[in-house]
Amino acid sequence: MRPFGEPSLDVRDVQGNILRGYGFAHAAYVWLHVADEAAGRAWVKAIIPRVTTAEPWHGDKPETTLNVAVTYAGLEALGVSQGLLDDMPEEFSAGMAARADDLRDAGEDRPEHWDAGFGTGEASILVTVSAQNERALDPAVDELTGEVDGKKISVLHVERAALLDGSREHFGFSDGFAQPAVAGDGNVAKPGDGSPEADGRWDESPLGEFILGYEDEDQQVPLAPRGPLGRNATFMVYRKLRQDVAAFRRALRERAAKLGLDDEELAAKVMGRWRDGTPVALAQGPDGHEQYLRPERINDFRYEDDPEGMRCPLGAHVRRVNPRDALGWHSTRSRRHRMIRRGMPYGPPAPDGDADDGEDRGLVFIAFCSSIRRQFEIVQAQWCADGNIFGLGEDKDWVLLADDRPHAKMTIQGHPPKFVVGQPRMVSVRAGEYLLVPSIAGLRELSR
Amino acid sequence: MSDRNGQASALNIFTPIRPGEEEALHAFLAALPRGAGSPLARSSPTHFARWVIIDRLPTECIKKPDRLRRTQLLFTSSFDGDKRSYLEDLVDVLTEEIPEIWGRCEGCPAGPAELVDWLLDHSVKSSFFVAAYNQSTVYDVRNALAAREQTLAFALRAQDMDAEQRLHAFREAFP
Repeated sequence: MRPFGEPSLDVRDVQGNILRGYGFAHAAYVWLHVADEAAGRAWVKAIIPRVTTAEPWHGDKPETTLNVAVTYAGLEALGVSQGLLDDMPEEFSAGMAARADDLRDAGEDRPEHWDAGFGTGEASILVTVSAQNERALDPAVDELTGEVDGKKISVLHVERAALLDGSREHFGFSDGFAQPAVAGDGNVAKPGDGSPEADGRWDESPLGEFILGYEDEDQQVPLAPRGPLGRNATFMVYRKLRQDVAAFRRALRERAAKLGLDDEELAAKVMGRWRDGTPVALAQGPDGHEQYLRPERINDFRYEDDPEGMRCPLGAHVRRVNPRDALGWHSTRSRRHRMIRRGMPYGPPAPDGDADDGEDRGLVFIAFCSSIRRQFEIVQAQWCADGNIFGLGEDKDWVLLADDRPHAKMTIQGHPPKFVVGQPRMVSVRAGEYLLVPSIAGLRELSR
Repeated sequence: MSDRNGQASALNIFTPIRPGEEEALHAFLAALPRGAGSPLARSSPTHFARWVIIDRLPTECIKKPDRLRRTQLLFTSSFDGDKRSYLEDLVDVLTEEIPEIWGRCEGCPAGPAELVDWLLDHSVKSSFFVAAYNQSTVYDVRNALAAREQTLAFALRAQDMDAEQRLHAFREAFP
């Protein structure tokens, strides 16, 4: 975790975990359905004192933390006035399921295949409980689920998540250490966290990119409801991604053999980082990574000296989701599309080998941003589900998206280029919702 | 102010929708097929075009959007060639759709020649126009895409071939 400095906003009003990760190893995502407005408001009122804010911890970390987010359907269920609801950005009001076409979600990723209760308007409130260990998590979750009556407020779903050894995600890549640098959030930015500038500096994102009520990259205050709901709050993207580890390993092995590459080399090329997190933009081989693994070095790289993707392929996953200066004019075309990510893996680690053990595992992808449309949706739909902006035609992110078209491929640029042919399904969307993470004042407003 | 960017031209046509017709027009436009099945795909000089119903003028920072006296239909297009011949062609390929679209607007004439004049009368010059393809016509773009498909199919097939097979396959694919 980055050192905590002097923030320029009221940290007692902002929920924790948005601007600063807790660094906890366990989490539970408790989804509630609110059927009764008065009961819902009373629930919000009662939970406020337990909500973890962004106030720095002096001394020991707490055993558990608790945060609350609300869907558009949840705001309706809590009886928020139509005037305030009308102020909400269109994509948030519609919800992720209704945005499936805009997100280019296809096949098994479509909402009709999701886990029960998601994308249907039933999901009202998400309570995220994070904990240092499972022993602390269980009673906190039991308390939450035990105190709702099952009628006026009911538990829709509980998703548990836990870090894997070495902070890796299920495909085996080190994850979660690349975040945008935010001006005035109280964190001390490391090289590579921000947006690359012409003079070699890394520029911080304005607070308004991630917190409602402040100026964003365009010197505008992002679209948000009037009053406390639209200040010190943010929007949240929840997307449960199932990962088929066996399919990923098989796909790598078969294609690496065909292309005369080592499995690990191909893994690094499709991801844009080696499994230990070392960027392929910096290290071309599997050895000598120690110098790049320091926190102040691991994100300190650009693509300006590799415009044709000879080192890091143009369509590598990390280059797509954070193109840095790869789109030209330094960071001008990428800096309005950053996200703070707080995802965590769910399900047990996969055993060795590439036989399918039938276990459900993957990533609970969580992102915070001021504009779901401009930040999450552009990255998902334009940068992952299409290749045009990178000069890659209709190529999709090879790791993230299945593609059954006859010429589906990923290109590893070179002389000659190598084509990773065929794009089997390795990740599928299992659930998704857009949420508002209100400030403490916003939660009070919701409880009245 | 220019409606020209390279070989591409811009057209913006605002026509007031007859009161009471807004919903039917919206429903008709929303139901139009997209992609290759779109009626606009029949217009060969069109790079990009769309109809938008404008009922208010919101911006991200103004909380109280301006109300318009009359809901407007905006047609905006980026195309090759000059405006009049473009509209003549468009009116010709959209004979079925036009009564359902501009036919719901105030004062829309019936005859094709009058319709083109009426559309030109309602056009507004662009204050800033950037065409995605200002050096290539739609015809060039379509040819380039077809060439890309053909090259790609060959490249994927040829990856596993030895030099002689590849030469043979190349001659076959690109006679």
